[in-house]
Amino acid sequence: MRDLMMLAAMVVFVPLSLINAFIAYLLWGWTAVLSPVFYLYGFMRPLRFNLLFAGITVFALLFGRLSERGKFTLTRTQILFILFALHASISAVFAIPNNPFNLEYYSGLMKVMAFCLLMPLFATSRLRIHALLIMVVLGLGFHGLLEGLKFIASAGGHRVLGIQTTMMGDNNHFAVGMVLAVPIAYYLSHFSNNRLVRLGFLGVALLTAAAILGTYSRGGFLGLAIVGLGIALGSPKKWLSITVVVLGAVAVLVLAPESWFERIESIGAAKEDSSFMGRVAAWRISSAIALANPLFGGGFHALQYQPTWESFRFASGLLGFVQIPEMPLIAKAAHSIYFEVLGDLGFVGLFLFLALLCNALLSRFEIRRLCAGQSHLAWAKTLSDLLAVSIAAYMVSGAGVSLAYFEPIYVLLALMEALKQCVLNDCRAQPSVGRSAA
Amino acid sequence: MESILFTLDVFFMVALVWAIFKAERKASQFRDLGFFAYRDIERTPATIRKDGPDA
Repeated sequence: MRDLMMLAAMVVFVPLSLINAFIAYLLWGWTAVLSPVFYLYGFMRPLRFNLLFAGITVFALLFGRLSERGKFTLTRTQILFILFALHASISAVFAIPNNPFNLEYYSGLMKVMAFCLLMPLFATSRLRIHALLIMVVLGLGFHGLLEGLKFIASAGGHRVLGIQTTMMGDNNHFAVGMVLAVPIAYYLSHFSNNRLVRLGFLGVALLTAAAILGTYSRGGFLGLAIVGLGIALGSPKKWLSITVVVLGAVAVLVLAPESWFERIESIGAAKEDSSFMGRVAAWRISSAIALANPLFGGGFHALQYQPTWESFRFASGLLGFVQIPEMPLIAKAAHSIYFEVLGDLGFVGLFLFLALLCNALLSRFEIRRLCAGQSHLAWAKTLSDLLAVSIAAYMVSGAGVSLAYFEPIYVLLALMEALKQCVLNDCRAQPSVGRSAA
Repeated sequence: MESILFTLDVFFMVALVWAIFKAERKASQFRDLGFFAYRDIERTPATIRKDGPDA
């Protein structure tokens, strides 16, 4: 049934994509974050939706009609994206040989880099940025909505395990992924025109928050706390937002099962937690790989390749001062976006990765400055705040998961740049206002 | 439940795509996303901080 419905949707999607490249671009993003194959079981399952719409985007961009095409300018963000992609390519070429993860993660990163590098051609107006945000929520937020409903319907008994066909394949990854979706759904719940749509997006935001709690992920819980705080402090209706956040926290305290509290309370007892010490072991080996290959690292997920793990198992790396009772025998994931990039792409790769994240946070301040005193740009100011909340939450909760190449975070970084360019164009159109603000 | 929600999600995506298709056929000043259209929130004097840049 789902396959038939998806087929019917494709009858609409494909022709419209061929006519309008932005529609193809939007569907490329949607199929990347939704991963329809996870929900299909029949004849549509083998279809590579993502590749299909990526191909149509390029085809339609070259030969189709695009009512409004942006310019490809070398902004600070675009330069960082290009440098990061080039550096990752060199790392992949000079990677530790025979690592089966290298090509898999490299190709995934290059796909999202292509998506982000093309964004300036498409995200040229508020309407298109709004459509891209809806796409993110219909893709990423859908998982949160579904799992959140299951969590609530089972009165907290449902354990959220993740979406196996995506990078959110376990509960911790899923929680961090969902942390990115909540602020976007919250933005849409404020700036959508239709009351029903606003309520719908608010529901997605709240259910996604419930899904994060249902993962029992400590990192996800920290990320959610940052999102709640960021939304409450940035809201013009500060007291209403703080009340909602406090009510949400009270609801958690009342409704969550005992096992959830035990898991969250273990944040403070990291040294006694074998799961945490296993992570420290992975961080130590990641840093040892980086010290052995400081410029380009060991290649994508070299740490998870058993021969690499064994050859670096007793190296002290940068964390030799931490006492680890027993170094694990089996290769583990990096369990930190920072150590993941450090081990995979070396110190230069980590610098570029951090520069990309910090650049987006810097852009948020630039957007706020440009929007100051311009009431018609209140939406841009709010959106920049909420994108920054998503990115900051990722930076904190990502410290405990191997999710450095997670596609949606790069989409949010590119959206921040698209938003800045949109605001800059608006200020150029009204030079007197823009100059006084800048 | 999963089937219904997945169907709804795909349906909303079709609606969004159709709204964009219709909107982009119009002149830029008349474009909107219909059901998914955005709005501006007018800030009242009470919500503008006196010490803020908007003051």
